[in-house]
Amino acid sequence: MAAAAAEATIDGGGKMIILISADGKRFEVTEAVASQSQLISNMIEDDCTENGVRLPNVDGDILTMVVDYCNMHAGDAAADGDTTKASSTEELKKFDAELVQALENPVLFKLILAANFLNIKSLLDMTCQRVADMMSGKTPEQMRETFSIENDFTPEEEAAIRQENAWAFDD
Amino acid sequence: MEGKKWKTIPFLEQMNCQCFCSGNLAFIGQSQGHLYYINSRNRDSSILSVWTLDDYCSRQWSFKYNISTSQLFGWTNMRLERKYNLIAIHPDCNMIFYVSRDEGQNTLLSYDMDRGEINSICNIRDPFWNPWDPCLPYVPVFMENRIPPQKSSSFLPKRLGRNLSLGAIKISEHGPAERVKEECKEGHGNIDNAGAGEGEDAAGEEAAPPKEAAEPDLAMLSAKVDAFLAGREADAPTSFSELERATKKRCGGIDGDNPAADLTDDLIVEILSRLPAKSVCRFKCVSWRWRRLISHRDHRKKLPHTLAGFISHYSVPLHDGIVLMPHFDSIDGGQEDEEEHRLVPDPSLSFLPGYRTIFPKDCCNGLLLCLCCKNSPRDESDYVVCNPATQRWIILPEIDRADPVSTVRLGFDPALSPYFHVFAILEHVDGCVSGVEIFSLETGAWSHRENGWGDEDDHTVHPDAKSAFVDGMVNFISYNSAIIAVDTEGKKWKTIPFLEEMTCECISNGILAFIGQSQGHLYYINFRDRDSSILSVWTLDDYCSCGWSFKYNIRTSQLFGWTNMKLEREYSLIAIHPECNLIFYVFRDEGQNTLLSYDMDRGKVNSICNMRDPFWKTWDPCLPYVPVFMESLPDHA
Repeated sequence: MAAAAAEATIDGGGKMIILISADGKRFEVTEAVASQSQLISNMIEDDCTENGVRLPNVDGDILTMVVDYCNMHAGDAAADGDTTKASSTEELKKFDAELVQALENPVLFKLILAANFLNIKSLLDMTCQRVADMMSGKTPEQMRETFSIENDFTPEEEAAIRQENAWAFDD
Repeated sequence: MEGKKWKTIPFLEQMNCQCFCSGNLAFIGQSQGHLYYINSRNRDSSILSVWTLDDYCSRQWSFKYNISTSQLFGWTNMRLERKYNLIAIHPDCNMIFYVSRDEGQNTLLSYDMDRGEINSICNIRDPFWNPWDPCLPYVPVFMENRIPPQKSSSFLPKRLGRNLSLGAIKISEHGPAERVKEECKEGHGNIDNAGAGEGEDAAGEEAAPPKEAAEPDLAMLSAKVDAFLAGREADAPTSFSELERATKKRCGGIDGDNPAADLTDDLIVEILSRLPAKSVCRFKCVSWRWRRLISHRDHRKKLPHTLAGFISHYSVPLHDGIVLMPHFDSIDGGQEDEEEHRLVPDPSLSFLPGYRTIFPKDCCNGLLLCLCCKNSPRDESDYVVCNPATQRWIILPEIDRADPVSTVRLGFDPALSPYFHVFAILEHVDGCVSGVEIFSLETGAWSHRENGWGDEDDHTVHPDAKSAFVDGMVNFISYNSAIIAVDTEGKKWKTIPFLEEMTCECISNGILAFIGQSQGHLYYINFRDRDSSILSVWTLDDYCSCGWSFKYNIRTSQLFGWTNMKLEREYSLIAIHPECNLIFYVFRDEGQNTLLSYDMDRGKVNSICNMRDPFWKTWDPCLPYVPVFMESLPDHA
């Protein structure tokens, strides 16, 4: 069930690690690629990746994106990696920009949850920034909709908070 | 689970409780994937403190809540010795469950730590229930593929449990065996139908097995249960559906399909930290959870801030004279009352050691410049820059110049540089500016610059005149009908002349002119020449081009609701809000000083507080304070 991403993996030295998504998809990646995830990096250190790493919180389609991202960024993460393998900074910027531009709810939030669970700081930063960009200038009502939050203020409570922060509601 | 990993998680000092009887009652539980620890404060059993291990691996405790026990019961001075017990923490939200024991009756209650709300759930059936008797939280799970179904009854406690009618809590019962059997028949105590019958309040969809992992038949079962629950909710008893709704609310989600509902507090803060202060402020009214997140002390360092209040001082008479103590007034009413929300934890700045009197001089983007007089020798003083939020500080070296120092101001903008600068204006004997000394935190030294504002226009700056730091330059009002500015390196010098209508020939009005920074622009406010009943507001929309534009005329009668208010009547412009068109001023009347704000767009006046010092005068400090949690100052702690 190896996904396309696994085949695209750059053939490098070192051990290969198998990541298994919640829906059972398997991804074979190099240690360098996988250890961009602090979670997996710790597991590699503890030597418990032998039988594949099960990621019960991450769906296959999300993990595909994560693996793509880690493959692209494996070069700049490796301390003294082979420069021929490392993607150029320009390419990386373009890749990141395209990836992040295409993201919408709910995939965006799923990717945040995955990046948080796997502890990939750069991906978490990028996705959180994307949400922040989408949020800026929005109203509380729009936020409740985006985040599926029920308004649990009474009308009086909400009016009081709006009054207190009236300046923040000017356009 | 294999007995391979062993772990000891030490408590923080403040988590210990030396009183044995209280210490023994400490509680641990799991919620939202984190280990929670709750105990009463050492020597103060009226406060329960809640800590979590946010990251289980790192063993880092973080403090979450203080709960006054009076909140749990609505009475004051409730003590731990008063009989109550922590039972459980809700696995999916910040709600604790506890039993209050009173006059032979045991009541199960819940307390929402985010909203501070209490819910009474039920009376415990066994009147002889004791603290160590089981009362176990129960979350139904329908995945039983590893346990043969016929053995499921072995999951029941030895005495046979029954699901409480409000289900997430399970309780043992001293009842006779026959009765328990009866109840099993009635379907109260049977694990197989517990979920379908009574466990529905266990946090909605979380009660069902994770759908991805479920086998097809389990998925069907869970769908059936969901359908059953949906149907059931409508005709459920009122108290139940209320609890259900409340639980859902507190968990923050109403749409199980939206992954955004699964975002943890930390992730929401992570996102909010990337927004401007204005957006964050606006999102306080999204929900209680967001409001709590935004104002919680733990998240302060990450989130952007805006004007929090004003730093002033008040005089304290001592046996050998009067000393000045710094003071902070918050503009965000209620929240400052709670200790955990305080933006200025030590407003008297007592963390600065060895000073008798501390005189706040200037405040710029979270840093405060003070003139501090030493305890001994009495006649010596230091300029100190401190951050009241982080309680870090640095003593500036002495200025080694023959010319007297007239005005000292602070320049700091974390967006431009992590280092602050202090500007000291030197004057000739005749009072005209001779040069500027600039201290840079980066070099740790003062450097001298000759006056670069030109000789032909001799400038004079009032020692207590308002100043503003805009675009990396500090701006002063010169008596010579202009604003003069210099940059942090003393290389760029600027003279911004006033328009004719901005000048005020009456000298007493002229020196009361105000400048400040708001929304990135320099603002100038002064009286109309020959008409002190009107204040005019100008801005420099484009700082480089020096082009003033007129913004508002404010009748002083609007500021007080009376007509013909004159400048001579004592009031002072204090500040302009950094993010909006709001000015702050102090009105002095019959020995009382009141701080007010005026919204220039809406024409609305708001009274904020009375100044603590009844002797406060126009030139005394009342400095707008915006907390900043950056750490380039040295840590003396």
